[in-house]
Amino acid sequence: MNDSVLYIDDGPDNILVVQRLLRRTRPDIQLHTASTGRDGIQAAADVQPALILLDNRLPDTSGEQVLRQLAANPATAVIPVVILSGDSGKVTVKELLAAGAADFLAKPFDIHQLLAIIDRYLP
Amino acid sequence: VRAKGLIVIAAPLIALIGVTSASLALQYSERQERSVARTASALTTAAQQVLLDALNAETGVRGYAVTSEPPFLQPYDAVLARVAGDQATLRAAADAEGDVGAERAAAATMTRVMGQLARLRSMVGAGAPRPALTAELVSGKAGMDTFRRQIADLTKGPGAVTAAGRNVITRMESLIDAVSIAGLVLGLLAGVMGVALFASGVSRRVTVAAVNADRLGEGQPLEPVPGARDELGRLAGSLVRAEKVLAARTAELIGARDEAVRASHAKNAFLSSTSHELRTPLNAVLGFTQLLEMSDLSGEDRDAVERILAAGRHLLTLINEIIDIARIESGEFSLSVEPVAVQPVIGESCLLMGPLAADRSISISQPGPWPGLAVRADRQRLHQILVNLLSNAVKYNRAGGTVTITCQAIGSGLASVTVADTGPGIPPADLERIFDPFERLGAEQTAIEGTGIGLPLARAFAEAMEGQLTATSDPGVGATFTLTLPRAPDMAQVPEGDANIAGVPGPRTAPDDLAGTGIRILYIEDNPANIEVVTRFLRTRPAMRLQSVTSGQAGLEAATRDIPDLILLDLHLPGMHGNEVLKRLRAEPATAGIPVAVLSAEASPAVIRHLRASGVTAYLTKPLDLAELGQLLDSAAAEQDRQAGSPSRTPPGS
Repeated sequence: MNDSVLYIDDGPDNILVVQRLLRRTRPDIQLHTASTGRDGIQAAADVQPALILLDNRLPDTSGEQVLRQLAANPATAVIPVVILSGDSGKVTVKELLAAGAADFLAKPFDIHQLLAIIDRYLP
Repeated sequence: VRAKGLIVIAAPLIALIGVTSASLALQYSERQERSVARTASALTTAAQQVLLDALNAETGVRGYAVTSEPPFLQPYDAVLARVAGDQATLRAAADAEGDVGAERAAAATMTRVMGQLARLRSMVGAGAPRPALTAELVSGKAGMDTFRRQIADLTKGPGAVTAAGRNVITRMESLIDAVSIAGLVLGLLAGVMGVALFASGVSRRVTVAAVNADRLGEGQPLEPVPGARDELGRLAGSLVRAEKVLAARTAELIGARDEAVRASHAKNAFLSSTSHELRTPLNAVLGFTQLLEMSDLSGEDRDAVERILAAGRHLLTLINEIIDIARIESGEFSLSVEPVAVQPVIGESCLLMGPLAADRSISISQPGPWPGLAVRADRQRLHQILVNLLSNAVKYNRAGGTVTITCQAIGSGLASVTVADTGPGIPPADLERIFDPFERLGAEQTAIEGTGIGLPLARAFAEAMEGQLTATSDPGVGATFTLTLPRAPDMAQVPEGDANIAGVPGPRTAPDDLAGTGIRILYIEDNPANIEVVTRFLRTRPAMRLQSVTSGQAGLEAATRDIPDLILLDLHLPGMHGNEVLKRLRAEPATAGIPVAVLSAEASPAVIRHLRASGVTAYLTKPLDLAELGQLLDSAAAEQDRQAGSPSRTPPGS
């Protein structure tokens, strides 16, 4: 385990908010970012983060697909994935949890809730 | 059919007409024959009358000639009086018969005879001598003989004609009888055959029509029917046309349905994307505002940031509620209805409302008895309804007021939760309006925050869960909102975190044994009967140790603490659903690798798929099949043996 978090999201504003939030409140955590599912899966295998924050809507694929591919690779299967999504429809949440998501946070997220989740997975 | 019907009727009719006309023709001929015979007979009669006249006259004159007595002349005088008439009759009969020549000859002879008789009479009257009289008598006799022969000739023809005619008439009468009988028989036969033919043809075609009507009703293709122009043909044709019309309508409806489905999908996609598109900028607004809030700000700047945050959150709530309403209206709203214990949900909702209520010095009193009361509901939506009702009860209360929550069963089928406040209440006329979207009854003029969608949405949720949400109010005293939902069987309520060791005697089930060698099994189950079943079953496998806990929270703690070799997990757990327990077990690296077998009665394919996708090792349905359970435990033991000697799992927190 290291102190890194991988954030996969195609929205620059979202990434900027999380970057600044972590810089300000959890300076020890190293944040890696990716803006597509493909890059995110690659980064997860390369970086081996302690936690992945995954946007449900990505330009090239869905969060569910990314989840399945992460789970299929032994190198990334154990990394907990928290879904951040603008779509909080219950079916979607269920599907994502079924696909192996560790938790779910609806966007726009409360930064305190996001910090609580990060703290839960990063010692 | 009409033509056939005509044939059926016509066949015997034609036979009858034929027979009748034959009969009539025969009768006509017979009548002709009879007339001929009658004419001939008249001639004979007339001729014999004239002959009789001549004989009478001769006899009278002969008697007078012998006796010279005048009375003998009486017959002669009588004949003289009528002979002209009789001769006219004979002439007429002869004219009718066409036997004119013979009649003229006979008439001439008659005239001569009558002349002789007249001469003889005058000779007697004059006292002529006997020999002269005798000679005259002999001559008269010769005349009479001639006349008799001529009359015989005249009557011979008609007599033969009459006899022959009688024979013909007799034959014709027999013929007419025979033809009539034959005609009757023929007509009957033709009638019977025609009806039989007609009936069989009609019945076959009616059967086909009936089969086709059935097929039409079932939407199957029709049997081919040969074209015909009668009624049945038209019926068959109508069925074919009906099939075509039906097919066209079906195609139209399918088109319309597809269109509606497309529209619905488009609407859903629109909602989904709207939801996403609206949230994305809000994400930036709220995210950066929250970052700002963390900074050192002057009093006014902080106030501005807080206002931006409040407005942004209000907008977010509004978007969520509008999208929920739209989803309910488009039928795209999905609920996960299951038995839910009411009191824990009330507790969570009260907890959430605590700070707001404390700000306004409002006390919330929770229901006392009936801890196990359960309803059939979507837990998340039930929570949302209760939070909405509680937040209204706090917001629209007077400062220092109270909010009272009660829950109770209504009969056996329903359960209700009431939330009563001590606010100004709602005028009776407005009690239904408050459930209309964006109807805030003037509250928008006040400082009370709200979207105006909360209550309509809460009611829509309640109705989607086959329940009701109603309001009553005593203006000036307060308002009471009543949520009614279908009741579920009471659920045993066990304080969370209370690990309950199965109370089965025997050292191997003691909790300390879990830390020992062998297969260690953790059973997370709230139903004592199920725990008992598994406990008893495990006596047949002494190497296995069982620990049971009755809540998800206790299960998570036990799993993290003891790292068992196998977890048996029930899904319907009080407090925390089995899915959540599973999720947390998987999320926690220390417990992520422990095989989990789900034991549940929720055996729908979707549930099983979901569980498989979540990495569940096995799924056993309740009631438990013990052989299946044995297999599961044995394979877990075999796996444990295989891994024996491998490093133990990482303890939590390392």
